[in-house]
Amino acid sequence: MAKATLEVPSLLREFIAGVPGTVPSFEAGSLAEVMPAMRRAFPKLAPHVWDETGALRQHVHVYVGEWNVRWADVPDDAWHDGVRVRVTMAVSGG
Amino acid sequence: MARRILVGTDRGVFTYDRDASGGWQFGKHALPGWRVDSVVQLPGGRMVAGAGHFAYGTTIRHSDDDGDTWTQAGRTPSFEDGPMPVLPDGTTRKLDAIWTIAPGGPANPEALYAGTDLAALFRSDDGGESWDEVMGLQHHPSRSWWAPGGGGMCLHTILTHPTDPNQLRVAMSAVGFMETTDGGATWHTRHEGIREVETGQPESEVARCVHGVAPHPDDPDRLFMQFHFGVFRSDDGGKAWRHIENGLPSTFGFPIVVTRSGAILIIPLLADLQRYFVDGRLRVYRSTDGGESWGPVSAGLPQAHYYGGVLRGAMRTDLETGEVVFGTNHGELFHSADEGQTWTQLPGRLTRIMYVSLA
Repeated sequence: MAKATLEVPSLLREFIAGVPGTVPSFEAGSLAEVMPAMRRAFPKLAPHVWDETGALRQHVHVYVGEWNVRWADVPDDAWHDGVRVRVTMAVSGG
Repeated sequence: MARRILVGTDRGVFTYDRDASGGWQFGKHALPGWRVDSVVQLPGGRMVAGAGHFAYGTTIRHSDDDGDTWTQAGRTPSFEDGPMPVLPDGTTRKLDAIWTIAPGGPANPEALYAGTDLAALFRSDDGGESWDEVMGLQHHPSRSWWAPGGGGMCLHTILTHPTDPNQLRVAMSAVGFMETTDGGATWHTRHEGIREVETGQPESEVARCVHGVAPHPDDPDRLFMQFHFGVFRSDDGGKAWRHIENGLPSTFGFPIVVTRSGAILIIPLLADLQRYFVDGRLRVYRSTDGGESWGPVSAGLPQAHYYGGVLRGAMRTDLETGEVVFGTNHGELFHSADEGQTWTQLPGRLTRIMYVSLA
């Protein structure tokens, strides 16, 4: 199990807000579990990141460290304690 | 008496508040960054909005502090989490927008309804915190023939009955006008007299591109409809319709309201492929004889070189005061204190106005 911090665009921050002064974070056991673990940890964020098929929304990207999970063949060791997970909106989205 | 005007735009909610002299003052800008397709304020003070974003999807939010802070509904309208995530043909149902939000009215004061794109009806009984789909509508035998109009396939109009909690009427583009009398379990189309539009579907029971429907305040079965091609009246709850277009410069438009004394107001646009005010003049067309004849109202409205439009959710009337408010897709807000006979532009120029409500 590793613990990651989560960063999202300002428009989505209200959906991951937790204890004031703390950095939002979540835990997952492996790279394959990152997306389901994120959804469980931040249910109000989920409809804004994933569509009804479970796929990432067209203009949304998720990075684990420097790896874009949509495009990259992310190495297993990218998932480790303290890694930064970022949600971003693609330039194609605006 | 309405004390607030709420305006849903593609850049958030704007509010206007009535001042001590009875005029309207700009209030606040809320939910910036979100496209607000619908927004209402409930009698208890809670604001409920359908907020979307082309990258981030659509959810319902509510605010209990006049719009300063908003909370996303705990169970927001969702197909994915409901009983029919996928249509029988295998198509995943995707929620694109919350087109309208309608309180249940005096017969159903605890209910709140939401109409969506993809066309569906949701109901909340806890002030907008949790929403469940009214599944009976999706089980209508015509469902596989439903097709979108130019604005998507949206359920945009919800008419509650003043005394019967089990009766509900909805309009969908480009599907039609439907009624339930058993609380939403079964639904019936109400299209007699209205020809279908070309949707490419073989089924003729639907394919009615209804743009807006408004009831007479004294008779819920006397209905007025702005259709894609025509303006109609029904005196039997929508079972039969007839054209009422004498004096109109165009039969194409979107919003329709009926004021407290029964005046019908519409805003014609030139044509379906030329969606702007006829002759570049913003004129409200008004009928005071139940639609038998129409006349233009231009007092207080721009009358030269104006090629805007008014979207279907962007005009509303207050049945207590007779006030009417509409917003344009260019961001201007106009108010009438005399049931639409004269108009005054309210302060500010916003952005594309999708929705107006009074509270």
